[in-house]
Amino acid sequence: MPWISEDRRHTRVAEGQPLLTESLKAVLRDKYFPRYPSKRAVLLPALHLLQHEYNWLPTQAVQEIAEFLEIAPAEALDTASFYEEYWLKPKGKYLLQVCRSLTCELCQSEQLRDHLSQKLNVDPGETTADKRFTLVELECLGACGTAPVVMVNEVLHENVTTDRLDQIIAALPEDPHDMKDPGMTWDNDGH
Amino acid sequence: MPKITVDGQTIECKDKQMIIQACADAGIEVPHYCYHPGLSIVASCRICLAEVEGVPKLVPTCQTPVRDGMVVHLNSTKSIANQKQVMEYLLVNHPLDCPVCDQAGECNLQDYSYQFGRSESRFEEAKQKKPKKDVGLHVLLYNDRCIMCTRCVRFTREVAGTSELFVDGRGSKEEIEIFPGKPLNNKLSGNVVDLCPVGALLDKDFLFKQRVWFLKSAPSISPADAGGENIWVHHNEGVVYRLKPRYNEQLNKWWISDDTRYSHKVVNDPKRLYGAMRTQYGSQVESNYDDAIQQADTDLKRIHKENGDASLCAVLSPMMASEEAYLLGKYIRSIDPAALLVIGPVPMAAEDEVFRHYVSGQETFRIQAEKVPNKNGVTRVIDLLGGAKQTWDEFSQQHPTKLKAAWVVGGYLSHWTGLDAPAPLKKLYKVVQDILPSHLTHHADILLPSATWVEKDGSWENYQNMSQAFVAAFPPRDGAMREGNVYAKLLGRRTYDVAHVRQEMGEPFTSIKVPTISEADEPAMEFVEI
Amino acid sequence: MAFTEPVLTKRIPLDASQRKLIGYDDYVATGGYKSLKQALEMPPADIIKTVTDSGLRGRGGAGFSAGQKWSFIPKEKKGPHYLCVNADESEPGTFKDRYLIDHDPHLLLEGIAIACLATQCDIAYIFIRGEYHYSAKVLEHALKEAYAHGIFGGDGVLGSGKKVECYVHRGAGAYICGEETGLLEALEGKRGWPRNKPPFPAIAGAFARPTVINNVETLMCVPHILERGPAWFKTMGTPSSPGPKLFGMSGHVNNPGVYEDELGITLDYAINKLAGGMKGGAYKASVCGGISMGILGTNQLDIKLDFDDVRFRGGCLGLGTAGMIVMNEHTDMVKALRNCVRFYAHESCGQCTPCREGSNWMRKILDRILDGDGKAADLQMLMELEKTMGIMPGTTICGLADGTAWATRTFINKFYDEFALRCPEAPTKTIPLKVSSGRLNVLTPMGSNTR
Repeated sequence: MPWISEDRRHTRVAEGQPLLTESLKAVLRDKYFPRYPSKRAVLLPALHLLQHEYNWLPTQAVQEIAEFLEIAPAEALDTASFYEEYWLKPKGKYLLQVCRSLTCELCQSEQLRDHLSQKLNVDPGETTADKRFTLVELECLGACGTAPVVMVNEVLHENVTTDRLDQIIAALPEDPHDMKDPGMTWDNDGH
Repeated sequence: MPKITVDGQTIECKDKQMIIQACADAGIEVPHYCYHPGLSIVASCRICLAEVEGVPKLVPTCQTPVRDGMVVHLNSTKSIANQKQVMEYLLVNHPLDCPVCDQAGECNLQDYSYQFGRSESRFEEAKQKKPKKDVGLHVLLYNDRCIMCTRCVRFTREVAGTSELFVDGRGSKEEIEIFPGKPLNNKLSGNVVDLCPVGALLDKDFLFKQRVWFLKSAPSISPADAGGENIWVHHNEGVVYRLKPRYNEQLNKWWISDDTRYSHKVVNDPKRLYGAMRTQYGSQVESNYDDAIQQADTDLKRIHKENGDASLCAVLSPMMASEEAYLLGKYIRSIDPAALLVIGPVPMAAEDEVFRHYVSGQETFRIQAEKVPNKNGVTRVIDLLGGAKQTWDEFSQQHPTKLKAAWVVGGYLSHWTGLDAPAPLKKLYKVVQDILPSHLTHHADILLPSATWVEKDGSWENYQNMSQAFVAAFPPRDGAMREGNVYAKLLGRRTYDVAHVRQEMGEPFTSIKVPTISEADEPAMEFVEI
Repeated sequence: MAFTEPVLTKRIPLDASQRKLIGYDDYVATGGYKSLKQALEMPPADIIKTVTDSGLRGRGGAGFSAGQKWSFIPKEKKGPHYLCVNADESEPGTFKDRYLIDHDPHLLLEGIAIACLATQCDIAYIFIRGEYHYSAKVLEHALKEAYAHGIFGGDGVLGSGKKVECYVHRGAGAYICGEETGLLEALEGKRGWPRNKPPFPAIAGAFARPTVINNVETLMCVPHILERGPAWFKTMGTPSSPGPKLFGMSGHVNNPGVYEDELGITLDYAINKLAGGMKGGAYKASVCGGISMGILGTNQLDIKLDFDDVRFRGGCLGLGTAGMIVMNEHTDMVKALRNCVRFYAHESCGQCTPCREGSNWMRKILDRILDGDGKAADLQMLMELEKTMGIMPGTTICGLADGTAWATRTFINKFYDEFALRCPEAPTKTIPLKVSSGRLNVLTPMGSNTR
């Protein structure tokens, strides 16, 4: 082939046990299908569901979702790749999301980013060697009144300082699924 | 019918037509990238914006329907400013590698840059680099050059219905991509190369083969199947470099199948037959072409004389032009009025390949199962000539013993006879006209290498009984002769004049329209004395 | 004109430590779902008329009349109608919808139910941005309660036979999905590329059916309007922008947070009375309603925060979401603008050429200026690029590029000197070039090399 080109034709999707298991399919079928007039509309919820399950979205998962929703795999990936929240490459157990938008920047979010970057020895966008943390900078998290904010997986921490950041990280459980949102005063019925 | 005014020129439009299409119909070019009449409208490239009186904002002409009395300004200060700005934006991340780009010379970026752009870019920052990808059997993707018009993506969804291509990512980082391991291998894949307004999607077959400004074009018809897809033959110095779709509203619209697209391979196949042969003492020897024709004539007349009527037959290939088939029939019947006319084998796929819109399921394209272009035409000619006739199957199964000699025409795009000569022909005296070597050509008593469809004039009748003419792109190489010319010689005519033959054949052949190369395609040269 | 008591935040105490999630029982105990019962007695056209009469303008940014928007929905029903609740609050400086949802979700649900009755919608989708994990859980929880109490599903709203379903649909991290049609695309499971209009959502929106799209705060006003009447609503705010409004105060102020007051208060009042005054230095500038709307300058403290004054006197695009990002005198405006433009470059959906390429180009120029490599031509370039983007010049499908344009325009115009200082007429900087040995090799600008 002239010049260097990526051979996308023969890239194989790693295939193992189905990631979209029967029980996950049942959730989609029973909970989400009745909500929408088209199967395709279930795509975003389905991607969320599988990402919640596996911490990221392997290509195989996208392919299985596409098959289940009766759309072309490329269309599913088209959608998935558009949204920032879907991780199409593996990430650490804990995703440390530092808001970098205007209010947070005015409130010194860069210090938080640099602190984390040094502490974990990674640049934004990278994952620590032990695969425990991935550091990212995000655009506005919608909590400007309590800037600067850092979101760890699904839990938002407000008015964060470097000291509090250390405490937050130290208090993280081994398994991310054990993490509780302190604001939740009722039983989690999932989303 | 609404009338609109574009830059002072009043044009008539169809109801609900978009401005850009109305302009195109009236021969006014509005610059555009994402708009394509055969695809859905996304209005995302934004270069077609124009000022319309009474509307404060610029309007996308591809997405705004005409209204009677509308006054459109393509050349107003605002419109021009927008065109210039969009051009500059598009070139911000474009590598400008025109010298090594196949699209150079037929590139909308180049053309519009010249017509509507700035002379230089003010972008001083680093350009983004994006990878080159091998995305399909026939298609390469140079993401660097892509301007994200998404025509290709829309094509795979809305026409091919296979949805292989998609947009990956968002914003300035987005790229065209395929799902890993699910390549763009559908039978319409080559069309994305035609659709690409820049050099991002490239045909591997044409890659680095020829600069497009050397190419000449001839209107033609697809030889690949009975669909009768309209094509342009792009050639230079006797070499066909590529086939491109020629718009036909009723048939192929803007598209052709890959079968058609790569059917030109046979034209410049190194194995093609050149030079007439005749059998002497059991083996083939080279012969002067005219002598070989004479020999065939003499032999056939002798055989008829010795064996009486119905001893001759002609196998008329469904690859032949109708006019040629007519002349051959005429000729063979002039020797043997009871000669049998057989239509050659008609290779068939199991079924038509149908392409559908990815959501609506509406049929968008159909590749015919019948893999020859002119079964209907040849059948019509045989009926026109009357007398004894057979299909290939009938001919193969019940071999009439009285037959002594056959005139066999091949011309198939690939070897058609298999390993062995067709059984019914085995014991006969054979005059064979063909383009590729085969068992049959090896055992021909007289071998007359013939011309491919790009080397001759004629017409084919497609599956809908629509007869369409094709025009010779260039003459056959020495050592091959158009079938028509051979028959003309045998019938004692001066030349093979297609128009004349059509007159002779009567309707519907007389009313076949011959496509011409419009002046826009071949600008007239003005000769001046220096 | 008087704002005497909190309306939308009447159940949310000002003291943060006292705040809690208002459940169904608490909500009903404080007069909740009364308006819904009232709405059930009214023909849909009357509900729309009441809302139109109140002069309620959309709180999502554009300030379009809510009642009028509802009236565009075809009266004759030939299939399902949809309501999409826009809770994709992603505009920097805006956090009011999160505040409302997190504390008083049932007010939103009541507003949704009423809107569905008014526009004959069968299904309401609450499109909430993906990052609002907690808020999504709050809504799921509140919906569970509402379903259990017959607000949604079952035999129709409170057993009336007019059945309305309501679901939460989570976005997944894309600012552009806050744009109406981008939202619809995301709802349908596609990439959030805004659609071309026409057709407008009121005719062919979600799943090609008539669709109403309303902001959270807008819908939350509706139960109050029904309960207390349009005349009461108009006692607050200005004639053209009536009603209460949530102001999100953030940045360099002593008490950042969401405050409710009426439309038409001055910026000065918002900063000094609501948010407790400036922190760390004197006032310099304030983003007036999310960064898309542009910035109010140092001498614009008297601008009235309503849909018109910000625009006509303030020189901004509009009030937007009324999210104020207040900056003190020590703020680097070049860096602040870079932050805004980086946001737009990052969030551009990539559909239209001017926005996709232009925002990124501007970001690169600003990066360079921040690195100390600016020159006078850069400022001209920025101003020229800005003018070629967005709906207002008409070169893009949606208004995202307008955000880029207006932020850039107002920042540079109002703080020109600060920018000019960083962009001198002639470059003064020598460019250090790292060579492979690791030593620094100082190159002078091109031209002085006389070999």
